[in-house]
Amino acid sequence: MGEIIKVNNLKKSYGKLSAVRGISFHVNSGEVFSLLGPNGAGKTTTVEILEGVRKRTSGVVSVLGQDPERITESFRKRVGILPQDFNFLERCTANEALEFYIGSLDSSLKPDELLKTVELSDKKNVYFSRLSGGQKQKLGIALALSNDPELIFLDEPTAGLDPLSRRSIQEVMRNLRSLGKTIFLTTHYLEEAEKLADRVAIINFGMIVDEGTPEELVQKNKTSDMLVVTVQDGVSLSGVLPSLAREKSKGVYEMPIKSNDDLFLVLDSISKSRIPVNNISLVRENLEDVFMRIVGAEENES
Amino acid sequence: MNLKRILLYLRLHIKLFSRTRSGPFFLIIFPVILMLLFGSIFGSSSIGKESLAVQNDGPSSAYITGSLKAINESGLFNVYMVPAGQSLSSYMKSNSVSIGISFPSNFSANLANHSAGVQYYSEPGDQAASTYEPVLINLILAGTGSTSAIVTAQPVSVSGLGKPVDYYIPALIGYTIINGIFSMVYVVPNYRKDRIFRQLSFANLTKSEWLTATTLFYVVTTFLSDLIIFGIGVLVFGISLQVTLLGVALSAVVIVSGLLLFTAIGLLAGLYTRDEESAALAANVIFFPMLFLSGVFYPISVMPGYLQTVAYLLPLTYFNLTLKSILLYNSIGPVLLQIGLMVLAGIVLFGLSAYIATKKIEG
Repeated sequence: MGEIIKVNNLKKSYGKLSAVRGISFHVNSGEVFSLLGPNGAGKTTTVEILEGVRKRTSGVVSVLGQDPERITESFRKRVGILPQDFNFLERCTANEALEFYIGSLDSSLKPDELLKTVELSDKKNVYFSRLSGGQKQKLGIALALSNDPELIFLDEPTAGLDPLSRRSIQEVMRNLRSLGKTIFLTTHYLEEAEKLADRVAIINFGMIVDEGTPEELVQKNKTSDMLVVTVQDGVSLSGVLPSLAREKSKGVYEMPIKSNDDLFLVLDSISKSRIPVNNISLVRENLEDVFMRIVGAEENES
Repeated sequence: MNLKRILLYLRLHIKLFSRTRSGPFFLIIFPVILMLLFGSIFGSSSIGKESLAVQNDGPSSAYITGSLKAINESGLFNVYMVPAGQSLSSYMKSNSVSIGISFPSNFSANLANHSAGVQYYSEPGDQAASTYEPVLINLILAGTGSTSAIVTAQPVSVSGLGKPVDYYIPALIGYTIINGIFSMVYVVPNYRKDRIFRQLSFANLTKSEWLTATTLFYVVTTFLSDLIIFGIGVLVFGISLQVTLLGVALSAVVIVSGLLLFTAIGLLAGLYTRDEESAALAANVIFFPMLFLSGVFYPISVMPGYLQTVAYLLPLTYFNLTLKSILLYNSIGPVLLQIGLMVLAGIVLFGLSAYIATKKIEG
């Protein structure tokens, strides 16, 4: 897999404010790469530099082998962009918007195909202003796909949408992934990155604080899984596992589990005690826990 | 610049324009209303009569009878006699009569001694009323036989055109040109706020292509508005401009130059204002003084001296004067240099505003 995006020591300042402070990463062809970070972390600044919308202060950037600061028509024809807060001409229908994009980018695709890809066929003659938030984002994705691009930038594609619309857009993104497109996704929804991304870079205060597959990030940064035991009224686990069990709420105990040996030991102790148990569950750390820990620690330090 | 993209955007722009409520109104209905209004007011070749209140405080005499006969026969006035002793001012106020004359009781006796006078009544600020004063004096002098005063009952048309409405055609075209300010001034802040320019750039449409397509659209719609004005003028009011093919071609050049100039002014106003509201304010600040001071609706010659100086500083004045010269008097030679300068001004300012737009607009 070739590297389709290469970023080395990228910096961007707005006056005295440093929005991006020397980040480096790469994106491989055909993968979904997610730049994950809280609001104001530098995600949109980074993606806009890669799209050629914004100029960088310093650093080396290569997108599809070109410097995005020197955009050519061919660059635009190879790249699809859904910007943050996507907007379009109010009285333009979905079909007309696509016809304009397809014609302008000399694409051979048909509006109907694109509308079908984003599940918006029934709204082809509806004005942009009358589409719902989720439908507008879908149209934005369709426009980003209108040149059949090699690389697609999706900047916060589900921000501000209701859960149903968000799920629907995620489904569309999953379809794009199956088509083998390279996707650069910025999001602050962790479950979105975890579900869709092959690799994730966590950005905070303009710096990349960690990078890897979602599984790698969890494995690398997790402290321990948690066994949660709910016992019947009037019963306590404190006497059984005094050093481990911590009563989280009435009758609900949490125990950190670092290994399978720990797990078997705890389960064995509970079994032998004959204490009546209502429920036992093992809660594994996910990307959100890791993210919260990394970003939270950064914020505390700052 | 890519012609295909320009035409694609132009087609899209026309579709979107047709869906706005205000767009078709200002393109078709407004010129129709404007022409119908001006045609109705100024479409007749005869001039309406002015109401005149007349009071004789003295005895009836041949001088008074002769004066009244001359006034009546001039065809300029509807005369209302006010009985002696009644307040002439009160009568004029209650009957909405704007001018009046009063023959004093000793008028006839003084006339014999060559020292007679009449009292003229009008509002000091009423310019139309003040123009009748010398006319009436002349009529009275003629009626009394005191002198051989010459009274022009009907104005002589300088252009040889039949109706006053003909005179307003260049002014109405001037109005359609100046609208170019408004066309741009709203679009730019609106598109910037909604980040439409950025979105259009993702379709490879450059800012120069956008500006070309948009200006082309304004040129086409302005010509359409002007055609409507001419069409109604000819079909409904029978206007008859003595214009040659060369005159039409030069008028088109003037219109396009004006559109370039005023579109550029609108574009600059849109670029240097923060939002749609302040852009609209800026456009109105530019538009209205220009509309009223550039001779579109009022002749510059009736303005006080300092306002005439201001008028000649406004670009629209030159477009109006040039169009009048071509369309009313078929006088092309004396305005050729002026046309050349207008073309140059249009191109230079448009180029400058386009350059600034490409630098200031993101995306």
